[in-house]
Amino acid sequence: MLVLFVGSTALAHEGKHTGTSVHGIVVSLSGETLKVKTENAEIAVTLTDKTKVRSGKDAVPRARLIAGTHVDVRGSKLPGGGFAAREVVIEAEAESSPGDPAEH
Amino acid sequence: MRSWGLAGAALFLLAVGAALFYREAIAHGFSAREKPWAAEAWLARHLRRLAAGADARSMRSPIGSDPIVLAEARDHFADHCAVCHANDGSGRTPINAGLYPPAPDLREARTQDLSDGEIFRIIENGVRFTGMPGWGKDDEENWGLVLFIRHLPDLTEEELGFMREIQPEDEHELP
Repeated sequence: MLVLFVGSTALAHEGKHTGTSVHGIVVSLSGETLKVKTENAEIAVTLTDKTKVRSGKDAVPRARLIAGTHVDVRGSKLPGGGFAAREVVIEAEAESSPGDPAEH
Repeated sequence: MRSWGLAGAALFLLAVGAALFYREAIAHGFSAREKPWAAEAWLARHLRRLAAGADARSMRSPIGSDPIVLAEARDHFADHCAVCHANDGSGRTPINAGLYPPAPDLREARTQDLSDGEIFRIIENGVRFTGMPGWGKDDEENWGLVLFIRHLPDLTEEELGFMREIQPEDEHELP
């Protein structure tokens, strides 16, 4: 009875897994729910304690997620249609001013 | 005197078995694509349990069932684990078809009967002499994976669809 020797190596979790992402425009932010309008639908994105919000490489407060802001949300789809955000990236070049939702 | 005789007989049989096995190995080699013998499979499972450590048996997951933790662990599994284990944990992947010993079907009792701690340790440290790597110490992610592995028997088609967006499966390549 021989077992093929394969030396197991310790692998660090190579950064975080990528999950999936959704891209769209912020409709509203209420508490921990960020509504984002994508090409096909409006999605309710859940922001958790661990959700990071950034613009470029800089961390920014959630208050920056105003209506009309173009965002790329990375995280995991939830059964039933929701989305849990691990990271929300504000797309700086398309960031809109308050009360001025951009056409997507 | 009688016990010496029995011991001698056992050693003789062992030697004959080893010689026969050696002759077969020399003549035909041994392929990772063959199915393990029942005794090897038993040994592999036993080694897997040993690798986790006795203290792991009493360890319980510190995290409760949370849909967001589960979803994140699901995607992590799809991204890091499904290439060998398959999105549904069945092990039906081209890579696993060539592993010796093959990764088990994680939905079955042989894995589900392991404690949370044992599954955690297997993820963290891997299992020597197998293709299971040690993924290191990220407790939060590892406990999330334990939660997901416990969920595998109840995985829905919707969840499987989410996983296939990350780790596509080609039906034609499945063993």
